[in-house]
Amino acid sequence: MKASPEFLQAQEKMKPGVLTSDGFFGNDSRPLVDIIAADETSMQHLGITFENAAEKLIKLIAAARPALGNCITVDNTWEVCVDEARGGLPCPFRDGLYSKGIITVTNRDSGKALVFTDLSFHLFSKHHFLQGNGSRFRIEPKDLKAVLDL
Amino acid sequence: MIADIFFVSFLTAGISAVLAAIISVIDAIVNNYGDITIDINSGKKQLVVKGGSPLLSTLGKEKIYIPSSCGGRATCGVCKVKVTSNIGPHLPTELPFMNDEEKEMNIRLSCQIKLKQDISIDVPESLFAVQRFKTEVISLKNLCYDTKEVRLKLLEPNSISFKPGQFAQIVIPPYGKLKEQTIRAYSISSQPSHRNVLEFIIRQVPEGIATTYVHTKMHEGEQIDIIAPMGDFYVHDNTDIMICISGGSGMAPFKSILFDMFEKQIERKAVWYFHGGNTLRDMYNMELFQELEKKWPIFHFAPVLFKPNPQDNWQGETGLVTEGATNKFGKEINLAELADAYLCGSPGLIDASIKILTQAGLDASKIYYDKFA
Ligand SMILES: Cc1cc2nc3c(=O)[nH]c(=O)nc-3n(C[C@H](O)[C@H](O)[C@H](O)COP(=O)(O)OP(=O)(O)OC[C@H]3O[C@@H](n4cnc5c(N)ncnc54)[C@H](O)[C@@H]3O)c2cc1C
Ligand code: FES
Ligand SMILES: [Zn+2]
Repeated sequence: MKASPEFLQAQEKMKPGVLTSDGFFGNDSRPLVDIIAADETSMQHLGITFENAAEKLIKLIAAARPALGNCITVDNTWEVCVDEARGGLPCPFRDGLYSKGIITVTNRDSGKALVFTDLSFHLFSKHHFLQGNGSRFRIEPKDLKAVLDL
Repeated sequence: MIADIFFVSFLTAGISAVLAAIISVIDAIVNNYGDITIDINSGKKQLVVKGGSPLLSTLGKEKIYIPSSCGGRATCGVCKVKVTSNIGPHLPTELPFMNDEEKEMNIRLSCQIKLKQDISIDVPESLFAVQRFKTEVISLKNLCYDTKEVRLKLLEPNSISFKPGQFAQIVIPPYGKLKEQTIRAYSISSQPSHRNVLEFIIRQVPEGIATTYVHTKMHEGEQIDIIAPMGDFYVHDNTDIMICISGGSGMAPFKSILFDMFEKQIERKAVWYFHGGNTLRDMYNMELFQELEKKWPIFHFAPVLFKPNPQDNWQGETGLVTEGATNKFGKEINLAELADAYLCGSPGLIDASIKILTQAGLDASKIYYDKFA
């Protein structure tokens, strides 16, 4: 990951009230790069990669998207709901426009769930940004491992 | 290491930000762009304005309202116009919102175009009729657990004319951490014969700026501005069969369209309306459409539930809303008489509906929906 003025512009756009009401940092005061670096380390310690997790999520989302907002069970293990709303939200790094709405993936065995959005999935898979502590859409690396059976 | 890179880039960004601010101040002082002519739709309208400001806000001052959802911050991509004169290449801020065809056609974000020279643009004629209204919230009603009906009385101007299917932009005032107003599009769900009161169906989007305001802060008696009417989603003339498909808050434009058609006794061989939800708790306004079905012989209302609960006692169609429609194709719906289809809902619902309709033989040009929804 390259830190650049564009990177800092993205950080500005992630503040509350710019793109979304509460922003992407929750109550975390660390700079964007530090959050990314810390999560990259946590993922490594857990023995999981962004690529593997993204691949699994893409498969689950692709299975549920045709259900048009209704929840479906995939591989007898995951309940997946992709609830899209009308309207789009741009990535703070300015590289795409993503549907509003919520995606929920619940592991039926453990009952544990991941809640994210098209944009938070993109931030996770492309920019390795799992959001700050306390953000509604923060994805914890240990939850990724547990929910996705990685 | 990463912190060092961050520090260096912070400095670089800081310097660029300061430089940009200085440049913009100097630009404002030194560069007097003088009067500039905006030619709209090949001479249909010509405006002489002071240069130096963005096209979007300049047109707004002239009471020409281009749709916008982010107040000119280049984060919504909604404020597109076609520029027919040469104003240089697309800016980096515009590119994420443009596909190849739009780049080729010189479609631009009007909020990013600074007026420095005469310019020619093409906009839909319907934009000339768009006005900003002061309104009062006269009722807020829960339609189901996540959807509200909002009714606004027009104060100034106090009446509107629009085509059923069009939308309004609701201006949400700053609240919480938000320092600026937020503008969002909502389909008008009342019919045009109600010229003084507009109705909307607004579904709560989790963590949504506008919908959280509507669902938790908006109150009766409050004054709200809207910009309307907008959009080119409306019923086209034909006498053959018409199909409408929606999900969630996508019912809004169809409530306006179908009740207007009934009021005007528009002739069609048949009008079918499919509306989908997960279980019965997602459905609303069902009695309204069932009543309409009784009064209007050509109209068929087909609500479809994906997975009704046993306690829902559901007797209607089950499955995806698109399956509800295909089940009727070739049976109650004679495909040879199918004229056109109208869609409203999530991008997934639009894509799935286009697929089944084109497979059924309907030409894609006869399938209508709000392009940027
Ligand atoms: C032509 C048109 C007509 C429309 N008509 C209607 C209508 O009749 N009824 C209706 O209900 N809607 C309608 N809409 C949709 C409406 O305009 C809004 O887009 C919608 O209500 C959501 O707005 P919001 O401000 O509440 O959400 P926003 O604040 O814009 O977005 C909220 C979403 O952003 C994402 N998000 C928020 N925070 C984060 C984060 N930290 N990380 C990642 N993602 C995050 C989530 O997906 C969240 O759900 C219409 C849209 C168009 C274009
Ligand atoms: S107004 Fe939102 S991008 Fe121009
Ligand atoms: Zn991105």
